Amino acid sequence: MDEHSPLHQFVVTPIVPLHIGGVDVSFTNSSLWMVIGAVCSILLLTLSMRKPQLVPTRSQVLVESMYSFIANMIKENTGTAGMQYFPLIFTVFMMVLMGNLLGLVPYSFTYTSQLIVTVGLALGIFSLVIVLGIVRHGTHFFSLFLPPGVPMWLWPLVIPLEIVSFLIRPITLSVRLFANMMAGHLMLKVFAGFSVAMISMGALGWLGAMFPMLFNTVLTGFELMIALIHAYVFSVLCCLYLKDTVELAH
Amino acid sequence: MAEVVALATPEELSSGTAHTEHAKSGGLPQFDPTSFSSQLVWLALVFAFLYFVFSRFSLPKIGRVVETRNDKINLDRDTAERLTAEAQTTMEAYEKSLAQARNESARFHAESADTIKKQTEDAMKVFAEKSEKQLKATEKRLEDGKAQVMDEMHTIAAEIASAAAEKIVGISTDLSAAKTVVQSVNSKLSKAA
Repeated sequence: MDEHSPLHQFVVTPIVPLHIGGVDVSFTNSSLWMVIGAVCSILLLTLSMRKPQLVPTRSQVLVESMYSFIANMIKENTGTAGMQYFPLIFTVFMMVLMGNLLGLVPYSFTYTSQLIVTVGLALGIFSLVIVLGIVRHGTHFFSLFLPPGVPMWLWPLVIPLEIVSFLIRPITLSVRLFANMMAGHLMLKVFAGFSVAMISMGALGWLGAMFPMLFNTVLTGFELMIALIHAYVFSVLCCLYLKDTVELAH
Repeated sequence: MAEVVALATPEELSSGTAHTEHAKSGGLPQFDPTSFSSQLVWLALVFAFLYFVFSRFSLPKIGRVVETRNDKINLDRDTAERLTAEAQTTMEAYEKSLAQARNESARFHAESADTIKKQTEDAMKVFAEKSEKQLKATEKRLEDGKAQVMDEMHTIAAEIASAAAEKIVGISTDLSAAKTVVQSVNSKLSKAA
């Protein structure tokens, strides 16, 4: 694909080609940034808590507020019983957050802008909800599809609706993140492309190139916010979906 | 999907070289299924590793630190509350003893004032009695003196009168009779005055 295409940033290129049992498991730029994200988050959590202080240091405050942020989010959305999913939700949050944030580094790769990655995460959570739900509640889990207090004549309408809204969860969850990340990065690249194109037009072009660049500066700040918000939204929704495994509303 | 394709369209138009590749992958690099397996595998690996590290090491440690701090804060708050209560008790005891001392001193003050007053009164009374007595004695002495003097005066007047009567008229008079006359004249004079 063309180097200057705004879509080029989404191309997955193998770094170390690997095939195991006929399946392509190459170490790609996507894998590289996943590993970088994992290393960054582990380093952040380990280094800032290496010598924990009673009065926390700055990095300790950051890590501890992330900890209590996720813990409170789970308590509010899933209930106290949801704290069993704390490591899971925290990992999901860090994974998405690192993907989103590292993606804003120039020349990096945004693995959360890969549909298959967000689908993988969403389907993982979704199947966990189904498996744990059935294991814990048995067939009672399917009462999820029938909200309490619905008159019987509405059942044929409500039950299919509830089933569809349940099944659509992993799709909305993954597409929301993927689309937001992709759109943001596409926009950044398109405006950067404008600047580059203007510069090639000479002295006046240099001046004109300032405007897309300034816009990109603002947009980068905006994307930073989007990155944080979507990491939060993704984990909040995971919490809400996991709520069905700890307690059924009816 | 239609939107995604539409997004890709201007790009496809601008670069002819990428066109064939796009057509194969369905427009966006994200829809190229050749990368799916490796991305899923690496996602699972990295996620599992992260989950393992977080759940085993990082999160319990942070949890312990946060817990320790909360415990410490609670302990300190309890201690502070206890000390406040103690201070309150001490304060109350102090105020009580202060009030007691104040009462004591007031009582002592009143008592000594009473004693002094009584002593003064007694002394005054004794002095008044004594001075009255002395006054009376003096008055009596004065009266006695006066009476004696008056008597002597009458005697002298009677003597003078009898002497005068003897000289002028040539009659000898009884001194006691003359004295009686003087006394009656004197009492008449003092009545008239």
